[in-house]
Amino acid sequence: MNNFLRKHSEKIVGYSLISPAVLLISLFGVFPVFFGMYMSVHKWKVFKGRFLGFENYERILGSIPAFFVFILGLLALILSYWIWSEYKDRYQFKQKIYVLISSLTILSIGIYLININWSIMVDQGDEDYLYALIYTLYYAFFTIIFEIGLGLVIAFALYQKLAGKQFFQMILLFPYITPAVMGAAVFFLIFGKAETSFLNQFVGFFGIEPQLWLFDKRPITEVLFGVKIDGLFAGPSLALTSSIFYGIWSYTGYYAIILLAGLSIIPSDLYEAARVEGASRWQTFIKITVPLLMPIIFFLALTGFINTFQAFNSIFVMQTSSAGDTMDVVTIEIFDHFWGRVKYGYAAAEGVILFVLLNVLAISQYVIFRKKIHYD
Amino acid sequence: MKLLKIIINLFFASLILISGKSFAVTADDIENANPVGQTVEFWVQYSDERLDAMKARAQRFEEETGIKVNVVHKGHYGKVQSAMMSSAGTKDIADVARGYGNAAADMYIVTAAIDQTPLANSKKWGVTQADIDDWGANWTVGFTPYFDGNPKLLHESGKSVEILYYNKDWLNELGLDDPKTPADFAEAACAATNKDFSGKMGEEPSYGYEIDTDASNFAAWVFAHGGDVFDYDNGNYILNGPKAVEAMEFIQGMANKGCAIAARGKYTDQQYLGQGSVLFSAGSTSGITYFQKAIEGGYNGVWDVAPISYSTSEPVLNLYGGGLIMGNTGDANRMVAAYQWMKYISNSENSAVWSTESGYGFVRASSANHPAIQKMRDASPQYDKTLGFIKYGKGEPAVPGYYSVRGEVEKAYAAIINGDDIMSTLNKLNDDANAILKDATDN
Repeated sequence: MNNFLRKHSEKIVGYSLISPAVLLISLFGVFPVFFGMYMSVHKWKVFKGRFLGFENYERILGSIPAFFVFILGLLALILSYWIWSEYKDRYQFKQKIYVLISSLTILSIGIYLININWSIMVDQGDEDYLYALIYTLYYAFFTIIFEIGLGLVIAFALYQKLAGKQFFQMILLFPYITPAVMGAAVFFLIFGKAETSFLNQFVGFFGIEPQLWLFDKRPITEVLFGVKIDGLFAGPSLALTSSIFYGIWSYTGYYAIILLAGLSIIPSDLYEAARVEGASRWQTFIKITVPLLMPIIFFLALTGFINTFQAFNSIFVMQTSSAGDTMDVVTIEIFDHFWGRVKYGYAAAEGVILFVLLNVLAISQYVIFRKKIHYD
Repeated sequence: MKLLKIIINLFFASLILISGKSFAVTADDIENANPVGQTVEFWVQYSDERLDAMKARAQRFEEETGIKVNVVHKGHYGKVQSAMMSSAGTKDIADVARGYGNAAADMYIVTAAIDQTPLANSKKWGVTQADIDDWGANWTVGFTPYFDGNPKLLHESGKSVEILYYNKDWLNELGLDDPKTPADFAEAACAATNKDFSGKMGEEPSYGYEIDTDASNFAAWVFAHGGDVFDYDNGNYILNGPKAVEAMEFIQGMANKGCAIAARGKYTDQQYLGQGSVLFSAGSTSGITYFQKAIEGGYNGVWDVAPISYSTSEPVLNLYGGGLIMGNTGDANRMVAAYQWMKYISNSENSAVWSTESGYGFVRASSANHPAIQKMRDASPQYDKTLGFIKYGKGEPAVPGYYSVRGEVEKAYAAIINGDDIMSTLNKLNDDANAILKDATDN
């Protein structure tokens, strides 16, 4: 016994030290996920009911095989990108053509599988939930793109020698620390449909007609260009776009601060060398700043997507009945089923599907960014 | 691994304990109960003056009976319902909660609410036949025929109906009479849109009617056109019935001409009516003091109330039967205490006083002769008029899941006002509503 303790003392101490954390994470982090899965296979209206198997999933997705093939399609897209990015630089021109053809073939198969199976799912499943996924995708995509893009520009600007830099850094954090409900309530007034709303008065200075903003369910392409497009490329409604503005407003400053911290650890001799070599500011930004910030950009993109897929408070506050379902992102849909309709099991199944999709998204982001991330 | 297994087992065991339906109380338990010294949790949607008035009533009740009542504001009706449902099966559930018949039905399904019949029938703690006669229809409306055994899930404590509030000065300026039919209403609304009120405040354009697009307003217009939204015989929604279509054609017709507009925000219909830029607004009679305040703080002129313009021989008005729902605490002492409180706030005296404090109509016939009612009638001709409207009341569906259906109705209603095709919108709404009903009742 003593020998055993002596031999493994280091391990025992190590495991003892981490055990409280493991226990807490298991209880509050891992267990709810599995319990959610358990709920999702039951009829659960406040109290646990009968075992349903995959009935809730069938009702949401229409066809479970179609969902898996849809996921396969998404993975095929990732695979096609991976093949191209992994092998394009390894071979000569002729082999490169083969790589390109393989990649494009897999890409086409992926798109085909996604398209066909999505149609099956929408046709047979819970249309509201599936459309909510699209609205969530719009929200996440546009919010993240602008948050990171603008955050990068602001961070770069603040990185220069600037009077009152710390003051601006503090101001930048204001939207982030503003309670979401309060911020969204203010945005609700700004984006009001009354002709005297703040934004309508503002756009009025430029001769633009008052808009319905949060009350307008027309796709943004129709509002801007007067063209009616069906499907994914129609874009978010003006109402959802208005809430995207809130998302961008609330997080851009925070992203800028994180990116600014990243900028400050880039060795200054790299910039000096670039200056000596005659590189322009733009070239320095593209060739030095962006690549060296890539680990941070990857982190922000990944956590940003996960957060925006779970965005709730602000959208819930800004919802209007005139916007119809176009602001019903997935979390709103889950909340509605959970609290409004008391369908705990069904809502849990919706959550599990979101969990699966977020994992696929995380994998795809890793594949896209992996070659561009340099930690050393 | 073993430890994890034990934790999981403990968790499920506690869930089973929590969800155990050991909450049945017998008639004997009720008869032998002692309510004195109990604390009644009363969850309400009231705020501001109404909440204060109810708390003052609870204080008086405690002094008279030794039963304490905690009046807790939980937010709007939906939040009261959520709070009740999420505490089902625990002792933390409210003893009494404010809500509508549909909420009571939802709660009853998950055993959060109880059938009040055994308490009402109790010789010691129940109600007398004279009381029941005094309640009249307000007693019978609390029963829910949708369930087997026709349980009494709701105890009426106040009544209100959806009516029109309007700017009488403006209507006079337009040279029009009070609207009776939908055609009169549309004519006045369009005339107001085209001619500003002389006492108008602010820069907003004028509209004849600003529509609060909620499900009650939708139902109010369908009722006024002689239709219904639920078919009790067949147990399903008829939101796409011919009268619903007719009502929506009427509303959309006004919106298309620019005479009506969907509400620009929460309570903006009240605000703009007060500022003299909206001629008509529809709302509950219980909101009469809010309209009064908005007008007094605005154009401060003459205003009036009328039934929702109707195409039937007599008005048919959407009746709000919000009442008292009893939570399933499983404790006979608490239940009896709660029932004494419910009886107290709906007795002839309190029903009358509450009516003057809240704007709700009283539920006891004998309350009509109360001096407080007479005084209020003399002071406010609009209040006097609203009391006469309650007899035209017709309720919205008291069926499970209606709270969720209301959300769908609201979206469809707004879409129709904004120009969507009426028939396809109502067809989809009706399908969704029936699917929600099926979900809510399916075990």
